[in-house]
Amino acid sequence: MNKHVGIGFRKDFGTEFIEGSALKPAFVEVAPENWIDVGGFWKKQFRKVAEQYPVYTHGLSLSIGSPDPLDWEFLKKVKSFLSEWDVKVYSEHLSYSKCDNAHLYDLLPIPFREDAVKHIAERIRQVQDFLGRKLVIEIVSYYTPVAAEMSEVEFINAILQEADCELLFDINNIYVNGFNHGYSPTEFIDQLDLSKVKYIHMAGHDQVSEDLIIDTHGQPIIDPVFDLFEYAISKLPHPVPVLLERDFNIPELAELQEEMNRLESICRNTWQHEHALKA
Amino acid sequence: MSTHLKPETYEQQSRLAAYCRNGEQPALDGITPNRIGHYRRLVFNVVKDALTRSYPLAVNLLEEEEWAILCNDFFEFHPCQDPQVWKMPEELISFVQQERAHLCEKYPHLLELLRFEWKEVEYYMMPDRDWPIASKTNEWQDAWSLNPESEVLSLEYPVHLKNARQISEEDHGSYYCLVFRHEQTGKVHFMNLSPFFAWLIATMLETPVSPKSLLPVIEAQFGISDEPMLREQISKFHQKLVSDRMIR
Ligand SMILES: [Fe+2]
Repeated sequence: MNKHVGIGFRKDFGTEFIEGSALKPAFVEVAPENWIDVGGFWKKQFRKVAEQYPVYTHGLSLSIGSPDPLDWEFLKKVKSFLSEWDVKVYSEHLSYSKCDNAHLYDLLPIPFREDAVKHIAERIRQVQDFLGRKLVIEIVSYYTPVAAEMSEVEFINAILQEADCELLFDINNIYVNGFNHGYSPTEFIDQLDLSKVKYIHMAGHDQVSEDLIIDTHGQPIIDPVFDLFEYAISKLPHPVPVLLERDFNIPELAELQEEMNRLESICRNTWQHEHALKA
Repeated sequence: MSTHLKPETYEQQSRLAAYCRNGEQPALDGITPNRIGHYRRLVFNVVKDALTRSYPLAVNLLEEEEWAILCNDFFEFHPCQDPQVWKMPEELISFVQQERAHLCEKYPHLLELLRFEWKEVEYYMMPDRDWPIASKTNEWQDAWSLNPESEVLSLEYPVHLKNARQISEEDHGSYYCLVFRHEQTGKVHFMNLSPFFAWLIATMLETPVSPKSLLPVIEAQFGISDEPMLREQISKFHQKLVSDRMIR
């Protein structure tokens, strides 16, 4: 049984996930944006999922790195969603998806700069105060830096420090970024403030050219990312929940379960002396 | 804007976002030029996919190029407001109404078709509403316990009855259609209504009243005074609504 490994719940999983037993995660993760203000058929399905599994969340539209003001009306809805479903974790992306009063619905890279650190750290603190919980921010994959004046790892550490938030450690994103920008993922991990890690993401990706990977979440996890995962979790001060993300090209659920089992066994081997994770 | 963010950093962020919307090569510092295009591609695909999924009938009505240009222009010139991407396509309707006069002229039923298609998304997804308390049901003397997840649409073109490509000016007229979400399956149903039953349902959805109590109004508005015939028609209609779970 999986104690540590959850799955990103997709509508594509259908009733097979809810009624069948092919996929048995330790928890599920959803994007609040996909479920807020939803009734009818999907609300019923969501209720069944939430009755069976602890719910974690990974938001899409907070746009914490945006120059635009925070959207408090939206945050109110997020807050009530988190409380309605007794959500364990609210995570979001360290990127921006809204600018000049227009939503873009995808994750744009933030300039790695000192002023951006201060700006974002202040916003994270405001969100944390409002929600009454820590925000767990994710290292996102990116395809080009924009107007950087510091390194990525300096940027992330500075935000963790100033915002006093937690970190979503996406191992695949670190692998993708290392590949795309020519740095060593293990050295990156060595420099990262791992005391803030609250949660881990694992996923597959698509290599589109000799020197570029696009983070599609549409393939199985590749072996080098499993290896990096093993390396990464051996350095963590304590066990954390691990999520398998699969957003496109969804295979048979049993295949996802196999990937989860492989992650789970790595967790067990690494954390065998630790207490089992409490949901 | 916060006091921390410098104008030059904001400017870089703003240029990247603008590029995603208009596709014009941006002046950005320190980028890998041959990779920046992935952002425009990925962002635009999300938006076009959401629009295409919400409006399959409109996609089918318009020429392929018209739809592509519409999606492109909508994203470039309209600042999307909804943080929930599945709600965003509703914003296309007012964009078409305000900015696409030539399309509305070429396809006089386009706006109505978009509104109609959006109703399906809206009703499928919307938060649950509470049903009125069902009491004893004599369909003549009592108010009906109508599905609160329903509405009567008044239409100028039969977008609910005919393939949109086959609708012409000759079809212009008055149509009524009941939209409701099925209590059990959650599916959205559309039911063509006569003007009389459209009025009756709309009236009863507004205030729960019995058909009997509406008799004087029915006579004044529709000139119907044959009560036995009326009772029979209403009873049949009531039965149909019960079998469709429009009435509990
Ligand atoms: Fe992730």
